[in-house]
Amino acid sequence: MTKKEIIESGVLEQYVLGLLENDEEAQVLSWLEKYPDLRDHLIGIETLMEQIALDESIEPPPEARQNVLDRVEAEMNSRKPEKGSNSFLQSLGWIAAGICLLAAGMLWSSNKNVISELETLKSDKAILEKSCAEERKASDENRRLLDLYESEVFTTVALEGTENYSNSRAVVFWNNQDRVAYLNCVRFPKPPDGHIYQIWVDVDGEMLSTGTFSGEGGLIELRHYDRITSLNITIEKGQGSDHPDVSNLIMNTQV
Amino acid sequence: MDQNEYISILKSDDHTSYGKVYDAYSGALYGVILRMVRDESVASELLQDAFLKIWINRERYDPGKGRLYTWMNRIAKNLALNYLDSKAFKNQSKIQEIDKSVFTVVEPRGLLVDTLDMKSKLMLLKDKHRNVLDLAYFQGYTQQEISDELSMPLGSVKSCIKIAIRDLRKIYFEKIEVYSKATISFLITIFFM
Repeated sequence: MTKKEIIESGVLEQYVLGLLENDEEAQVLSWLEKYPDLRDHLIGIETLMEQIALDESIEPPPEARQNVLDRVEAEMNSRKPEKGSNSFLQSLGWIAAGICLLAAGMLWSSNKNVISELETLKSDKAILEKSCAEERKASDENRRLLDLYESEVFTTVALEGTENYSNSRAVVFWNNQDRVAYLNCVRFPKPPDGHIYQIWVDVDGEMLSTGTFSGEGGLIELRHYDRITSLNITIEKGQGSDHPDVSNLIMNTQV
Repeated sequence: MDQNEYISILKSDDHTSYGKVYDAYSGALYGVILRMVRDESVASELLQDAFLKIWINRERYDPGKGRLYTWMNRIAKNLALNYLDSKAFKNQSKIQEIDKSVFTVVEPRGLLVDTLDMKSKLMLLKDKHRNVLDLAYFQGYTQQEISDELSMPLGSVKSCIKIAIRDLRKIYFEKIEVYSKATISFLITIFFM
C-alpha cells in the first residue's frame, strides 16, 4: 500500500482505537517504519483522541488517588527488600549449593578412600588370619612334637637319607603300648609327577606299608605294627604300591 | 497536552511524583472505564488497578510506538473488558435481573449517548458516526461487535470510524466553522422539541 492508501483506508484510526488484530497492528508498525512521516499523521489522531478523552473526563472518587499512590508506594517498598532479599537469598542459595557440592565431593573422595582402606584392611586381615592359622597349626604341631619327644612311651627313630635326600629329615614316633605311630617329615622335595612317598616297615622279613605322604611336612599318623625291625621310605607310582620299589629307596634305618 | 513530564516520571522511577500522572489522566481513563462497566465502585477499583498496572509496566512503554495516553488507555480498557468477561460481572448481572428493586441497576452494554454532556463536541457528530465512535472508543467494542450491535455492515463501521475522526479533527482544529453549524443545528433541534 502507498502512504496515501494507508491514510485513506482508516487503518491508522483503527490502530489508535485498539480495534486491530495483532497481525494488523504489526503491519501498521512496519508501515510506520517504512514511511516515517506516517507517524505525524498517527500522532495527530492519537492527540485528537486523547483530547476527546480528556474532554469527556469524569471525576473519579477522591479517595481513589490516595489509594493508587499508597498501592504504588507499597509496591515499591515490597519490591526493594524483595529484590535485595531475593538477590541475597539467591547468593546464599548458590553458596549453599557450592558448599554442598564441595562437601559431596569430599565425602565421595573420603568414602572412596575409606572403601579402599577397608578393602586393604580386609585383605590384611585375611592374610593375618591365614598367617595366624598357619602359626597356630605350626605351634600345635610343635607342641605335639615336643610332647612326642618328651613322651616316655614313644620310641623316636630318625631315618637317614640317601645322597639326594641328605637335607631331608624324617622322624618316626613309635608307641607299642598304645599301638600308635607318627611320622614327622621335614624339607622333603616335591616327589616326581604321578608319584608319592611311601613308608614301609619290615616285620618278620616282610615289607609292610604303614602310610604315604606328599612331603609337605607336618605330623602324619602311620599304621602301627608290632615287631618292626626297619623303617624305609620309597618313591612309588600313583597313590602307593603293595610292594616297595627298592630301586627308589630314599631313606631307611634299622630299629 | 505535553506528555514529556509524565514520561520522565515513569522512566525515572520517581513514584513520589506519580500523583502528577494520575492528576493528568485519571479523569479521562475513569470516563472510559465507567462508560464501559457502568458501576462507580467497580470503575473506581478498575481505575486504581489500571494505574498500578501502568506503574508496574512502565518500562514497557515505548514512546516511539505512540503517545503515553494511548498506551495507558489500552491498559485501562483491557482491565475493564476483562471485568466484563469475568464471572463476577456475570453473576452480578444475574442477581440484578432477579431483583432489580434491591440492587443498583447495571444496564447492559450499549449506546451511552445520554451520558454525554450536551456540550460535548461529540454531540456535533452525526448520530451514526457518534454511536460507532462511542462504542469503539469509550466502550471497548470490537468492530464486529459494533456491526452486530448496530446491525451495520463491517465495512460501514470502519467508514464511520474514519469519518467520525475526520469530522472531530475539523471540529477541534477548525472549531469556529463547525461549531457554528452544529450550534445552529442543535438550537433548531431544541426549538422544535
